[in-house]
Amino acid sequence: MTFNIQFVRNTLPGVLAALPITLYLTFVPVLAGAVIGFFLALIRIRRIPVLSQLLSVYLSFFRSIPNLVILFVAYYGLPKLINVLFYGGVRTVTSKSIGSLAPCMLVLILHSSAFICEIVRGALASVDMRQLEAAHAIGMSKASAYLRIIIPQAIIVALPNYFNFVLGAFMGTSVVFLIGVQDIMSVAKIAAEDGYTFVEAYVMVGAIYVIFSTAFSLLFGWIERMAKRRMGIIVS
Amino acid sequence: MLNVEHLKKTFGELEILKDISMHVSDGEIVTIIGPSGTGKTTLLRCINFLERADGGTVTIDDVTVDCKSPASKDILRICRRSGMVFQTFNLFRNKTVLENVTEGLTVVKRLPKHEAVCIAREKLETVGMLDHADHYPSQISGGQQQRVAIARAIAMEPSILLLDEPTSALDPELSKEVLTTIKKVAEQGATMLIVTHEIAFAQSISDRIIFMENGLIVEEGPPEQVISNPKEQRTRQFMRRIRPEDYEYII
Repeated sequence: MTFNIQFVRNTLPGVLAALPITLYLTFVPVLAGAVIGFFLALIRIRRIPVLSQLLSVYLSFFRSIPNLVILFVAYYGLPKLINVLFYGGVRTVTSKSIGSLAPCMLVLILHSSAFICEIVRGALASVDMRQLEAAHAIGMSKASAYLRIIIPQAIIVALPNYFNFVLGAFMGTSVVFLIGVQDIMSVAKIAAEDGYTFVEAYVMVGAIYVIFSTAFSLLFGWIERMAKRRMGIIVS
Repeated sequence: MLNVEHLKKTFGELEILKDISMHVSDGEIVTIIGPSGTGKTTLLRCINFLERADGGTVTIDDVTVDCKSPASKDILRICRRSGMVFQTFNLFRNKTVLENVTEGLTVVKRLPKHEAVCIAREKLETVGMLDHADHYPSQISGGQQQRVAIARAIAMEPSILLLDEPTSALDPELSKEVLTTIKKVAEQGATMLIVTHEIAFAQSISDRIIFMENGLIVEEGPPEQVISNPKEQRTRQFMRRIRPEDYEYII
């Protein structure tokens, strides 16, 4: 048994060409999730009636079902839902016509928002809110007190958890090939099927994940240190 | 000038302030003393609307606000005319000592940065913290943090400075440096309303002392009267309990 290096050489360009899809499916959801998650956390902290209850149903849903299952439900369910809502149940839109990227992106954004909401909530809860009283006492509005004092401190607390989640999300995108999105995993698997070179394909994909994860964690570590230094926390 | 008329505040069933009226003239130093839980801190917090009183009015200089239905614009105007020093300092932890003082000047008063820095450095000099201008709150002691908090409050040039037990979170040594700083600010002609448990300090700094209990003003007058020679029975009782010379030693 040999390791077919020729296969790796031939397939690598194609796999790397799919890398933008993997990165797109990682960073759009975690960035959108950061914004949505922040507002969801505010709803949760403020205990806004009705919205707050709906939110906890949503959170427990996304936190207790594997992403893959939700992905399949969205892929097959979304066209059905659209048909029922807009076309009186007549089969007009299909999974094929919607494509797989849209349901995929929707699920990943909802998933990220749910998890980041909890990260933000924890981070805001850790900030000493008596600083808000001090801001009030010098005549600052609540909005600028949050923007200038509370949120910068919450970000420092949230960063390690958030970056951890981003790394998880990056690796988690590998499940999307199951509904036919052409990410690095999918391209490698399809190429491997011709000559049964699955070991080579998955080792190659694994190596790409390792390289990028390591690069990201170095970058994130650097950002965390910079952020902490901005708050006078000494970093060794 | 501060004027409070018929201030009332209840927390649920508990009546914390029952009809408080008081006045502080320009340049006057007034201290509120009294047992714990009698509403001294609540009174200060109601004056700058950190707590919403149920009734009464608060006047600072030309602004009078009805506590029953205050407009948020009026609350902001009251806040800009008053400064507050907290028991727990409450410095902005993501800002340096200097930035803590300039924050209000640039964000609230909208002064240009160099002007704000100039004022801030002058106030930090007053409280003796100019050497630490680039430190963060986490890098300095409690007493130093409180002195910075005083600088932050006086930099806004409030008509009245409210001090809420400024030394009760500090050990005696650090208390002393804070009390000295407050005295220094008082000597520069500030108007102050102080809540404190430091009777000796109250006696030496105040023009007038107010003794509060159970949400009411029991007695007020010059320090020599309220502390050394109280008229009211209840004030006498309180003073007797806290005066060290009256401690009984049982061995």
